[in-house]
Amino acid sequence: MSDPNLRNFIDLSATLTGLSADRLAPAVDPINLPPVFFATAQQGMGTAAFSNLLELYVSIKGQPPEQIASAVLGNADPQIAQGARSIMKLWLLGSWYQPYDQGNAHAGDTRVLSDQAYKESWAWKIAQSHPMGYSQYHFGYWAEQPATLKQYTGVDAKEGQ
Amino acid sequence: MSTLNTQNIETADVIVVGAGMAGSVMAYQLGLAGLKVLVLESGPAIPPNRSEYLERFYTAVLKAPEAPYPPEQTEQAPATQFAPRATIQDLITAGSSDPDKAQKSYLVQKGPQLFASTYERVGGGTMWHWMGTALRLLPNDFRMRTLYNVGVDWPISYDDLQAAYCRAEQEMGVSADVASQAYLGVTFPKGYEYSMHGIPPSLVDQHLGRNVTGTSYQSPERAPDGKPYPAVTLNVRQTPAGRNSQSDNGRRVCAGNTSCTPICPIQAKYDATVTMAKALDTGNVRILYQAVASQVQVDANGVTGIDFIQYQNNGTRQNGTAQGKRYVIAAHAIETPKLLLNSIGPHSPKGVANSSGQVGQALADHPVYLAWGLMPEGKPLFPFRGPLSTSGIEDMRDGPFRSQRAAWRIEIGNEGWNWSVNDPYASVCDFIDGTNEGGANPGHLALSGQALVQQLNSVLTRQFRLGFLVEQVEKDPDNALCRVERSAEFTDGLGLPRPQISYALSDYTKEGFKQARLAATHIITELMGATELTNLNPDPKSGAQTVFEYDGQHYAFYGAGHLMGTYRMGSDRTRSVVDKDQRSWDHPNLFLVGDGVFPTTGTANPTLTITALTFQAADVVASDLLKRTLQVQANQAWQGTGMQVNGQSWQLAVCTGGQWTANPATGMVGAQGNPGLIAKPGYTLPGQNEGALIGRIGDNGEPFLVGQQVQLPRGQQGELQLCINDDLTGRYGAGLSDNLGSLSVEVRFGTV
Repeated sequence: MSDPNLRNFIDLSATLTGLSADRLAPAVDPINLPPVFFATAQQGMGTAAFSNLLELYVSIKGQPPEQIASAVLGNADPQIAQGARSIMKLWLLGSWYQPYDQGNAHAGDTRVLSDQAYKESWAWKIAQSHPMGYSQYHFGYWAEQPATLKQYTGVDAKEGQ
Repeated sequence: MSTLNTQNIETADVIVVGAGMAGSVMAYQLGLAGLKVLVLESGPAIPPNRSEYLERFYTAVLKAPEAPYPPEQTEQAPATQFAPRATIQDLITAGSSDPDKAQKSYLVQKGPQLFASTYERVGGGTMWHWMGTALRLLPNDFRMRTLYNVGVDWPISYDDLQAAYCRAEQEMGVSADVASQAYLGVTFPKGYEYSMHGIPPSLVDQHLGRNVTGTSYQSPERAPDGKPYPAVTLNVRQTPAGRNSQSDNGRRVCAGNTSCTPICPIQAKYDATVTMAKALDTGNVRILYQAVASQVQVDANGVTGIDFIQYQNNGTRQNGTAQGKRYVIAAHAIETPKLLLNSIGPHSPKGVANSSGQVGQALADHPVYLAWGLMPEGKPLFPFRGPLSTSGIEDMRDGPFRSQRAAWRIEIGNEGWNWSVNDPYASVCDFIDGTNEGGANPGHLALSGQALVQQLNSVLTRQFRLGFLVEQVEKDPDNALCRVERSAEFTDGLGLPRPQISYALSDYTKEGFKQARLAATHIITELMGATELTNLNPDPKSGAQTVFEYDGQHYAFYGAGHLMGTYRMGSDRTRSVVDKDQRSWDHPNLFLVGDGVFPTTGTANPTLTITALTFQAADVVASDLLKRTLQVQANQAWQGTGMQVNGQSWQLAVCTGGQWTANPATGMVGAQGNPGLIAKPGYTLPGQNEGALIGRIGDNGEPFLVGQQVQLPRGQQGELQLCINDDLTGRYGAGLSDNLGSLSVEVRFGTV
């Protein structure tokens, strides 16, 4: 694993998930999940397909995010399109959803990477909450309005929400 | 694997099978009373902390109730496991087309429906993943046959259980406000307060409360006379909870982990290990872990021993027998009948305690009707925050409709669609893949970038669900359709026959589902203005036998984890397994405790009632072995009873007969003394009747009135001493010297 590849993996992840790269991979990161996720995606997709995905990204990374997402998720190569979706789920759910048969893994196989991957998964923050079983809040917080989506994720909530 | 044939004999005053809720309360109360107790627990020891369980939970893909607990369920090999248990993974397999599903499922499911609830076999029992709901049964739940001509009556009433409910709430540390809990006939002692103040309502509760509380619900159903039932006013009501709203009991306050089931990460939620720790602290209780009770041995006089097999993780096994003066089986509504039915012998041809044939009969749950909705855009409720449930709608737990169909309570979930569709997982995958498995993506949008975050946020914050806990009632309670039997085909890794389950919901219960569906739709669409996403036409094929057809519609049901029935209590030994004291009709030194004694299910989550009933049974067991009757003489000052009071047990002194007097000129009286003569200053207990029976704890204890009966004061330790209320020192005349007669006094365990 080389740093530029990891950087590209993080930037691609940020584009696909809508979560900024500095939130996915903070400058000071004691947990340091990105290299774990990189290795997981590489192994799950297979080295060749994973390289193809990153090469594709490098070739289009100057484009607007919507066009990058369209090129990746709508790619004619199903391994790129489905592998990228599994990477999105990995960030949001902390679990690797095997996108297609690869090595000993079968399409649909699912595993939680680690307790840290679960605790740091983004779907819960997107729900303005915490992972079930991992609350860092105080007694009675549930009776009060949560912080905004922007505060949780850096993304503005839908209008009217 | 090997079995050592040396026979290990273990003895104690009382043998308890099971270290769950009932076993822990029993062991604690008996240990406090000074009895030596041996607990046989089939599963591994209570761990010193919960980090290993938590780690397993965090990394489990299927975060089912069993996920944190050993043994891990990936293998599904009950035939080789020593203490296998029912799991959600088993249930999924049982509903699949897997050709090996019968062998893989610990419960041998004979249908026609699947029994959908599960349990644990570990130290502390299934209480590890109880929800924390600590509701009482309603007074009318105890008299279903008398009032509604269905089910059977309990041999006890709500009032008989009142004091025990208070003890159970104190033991668990229940957070609730009394004012919110007095409804549908539920009463509390004057001035009663729960241990801790109530848990604040979640934002989901608050939103439902604004739209639901105070509205009137007119059910479309008709009474047999063709008239509608009276309309019911709905209330979103705080749920009493065995979780800390204060931390003065040494455990943390609830941090709203939204994970009461499968595991509270910080033990803010009470569980049975709290009580078992206190039991062990008495110094009178010991536990054998990984010790599976295999056979109850009986002769004509009662139980003579309980055989067990203790296993090590390396596969080594050793046989043993536990012998005591009393035996208590606290292994719930499936493992208890399994043990009894596996105990065939010359004096128990149908299994132990089974002369009525009722052991294993009328297995029940609160089958759950789950309904869920999505609020309109711009009206978030913010689920996934707080304890799993903090409020319910309880107003239809009783009513005249119970002559025709099952009642229910409505539990309001704080976990969005986690139970119903496994969100956030389902919706995240749907909006990435362009699918609609969870139901929130009918347009099959495949999103990315900020649009994905915004859409998921919008969907996940607008979810809510209602869980209807439906009362399960047999059509003919003496010939039940739901049963636990011993499997003739399948065994576990110790060679013990596995429990075989037949399960079929009655039309009475199914009609409850029908009315639940109508009420759910009313609340979700009419009152909340939400879109209902409940699957109103579940596929009976794909869902296998957790979907049933009734009156032209399909209904899915879920397990509540509330195992009840199978060794019910009653007043007729031919139609029940235990009496009102939970003592076996057949074997007087055998007690069966836990949810299996429930004659009917009511709609309250059963844990609090299990606990209350176990307190009562523990009083009976302790009294059996330690009760004393003594004569108290009128002409003697303080008389020792030899009965040590520990200040924590609940004990009674009761006058059972005799007459005496402190003044022969005024005549003989009983324990109340002479109501016309109030003791003067200088008497032992001034202000009370002269000649009354009085007591004190220790030589220097403050005297108190005993009278006909009294609850011995708690918080004081020492020997109970008794005396007549008189002028002990002869200050006003003859003192004790002219006194006549004596009283018989029984000192036993229990509450007034």
